[in-house]
Amino acid sequence: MSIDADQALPESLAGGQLRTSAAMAEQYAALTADFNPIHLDPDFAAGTSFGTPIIHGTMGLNLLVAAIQDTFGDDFPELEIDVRFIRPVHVGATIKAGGRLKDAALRSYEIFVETDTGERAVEGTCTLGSPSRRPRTNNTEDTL
Amino acid sequence: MHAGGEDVWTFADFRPGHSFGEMSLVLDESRLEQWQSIYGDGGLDGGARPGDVPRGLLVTCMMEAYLGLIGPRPPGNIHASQKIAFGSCRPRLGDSLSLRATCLDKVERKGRGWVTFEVSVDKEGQNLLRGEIRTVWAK
Repeated sequence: MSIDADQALPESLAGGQLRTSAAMAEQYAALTADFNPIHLDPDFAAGTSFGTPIIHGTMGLNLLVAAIQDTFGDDFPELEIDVRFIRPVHVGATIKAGGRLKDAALRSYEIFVETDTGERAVEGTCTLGSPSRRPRTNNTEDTL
Repeated sequence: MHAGGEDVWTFADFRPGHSFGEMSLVLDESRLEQWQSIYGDGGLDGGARPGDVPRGLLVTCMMEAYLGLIGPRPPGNIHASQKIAFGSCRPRLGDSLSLRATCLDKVERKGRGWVTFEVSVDKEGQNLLRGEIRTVWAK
């Protein structure tokens, strides 16, 4: 899904959802070369204040990035995101990304990642840049 | 590598403006498959052309550079907040990326050392992503 740049901005982002797992944490560790045992090792995590492994913070952030891209496509090529990681998410939890239009004139959205219990793990803002001038086309060939 | 050898980077070591160097990564099929094993087609919107890859892959590259260029590290650092500015150029499969990490700022507050790092991700001189990673440094 995406919108035409001259259309009104949608009130909310296309949401995304992930049911996290130990296997997924391993995959994300491989993708980022981040093998911190707090994400991967239950024995190590048991000795920390978290008790059990927690997901990488940017795993949730990337769910947001994907949701933004799925909503707007290339309609707004430049994009700024500013988020805080406010709560750890235990491996095994389901996370959902979402966003609500905050200021249409500024093209800004309140964005967040929350768990299935409604607790926010990541929150912040996303500001879209200028609309693309590239005409939308169904042609899948590269153009000069 | 820390200029001092194998000792971990400590809060006292950081100097705003210091460059931690540069590394290269390629947005290859393997990296895309790893992304898709987690996010499926997330970030591959309907307007994507063949060869386009999700922008989130740049975020994973940013983290790899952050961890790879700034080390050894003490255990227990906290990634507290993150700013990301995506440039107008969309990443493509096979792109060779240059990634650089710099210390932007450090401040001590309530007994904790806060350090802000910048990681830039470029392709052939074009900036694809600029990230600011704000960290509570553990030591």
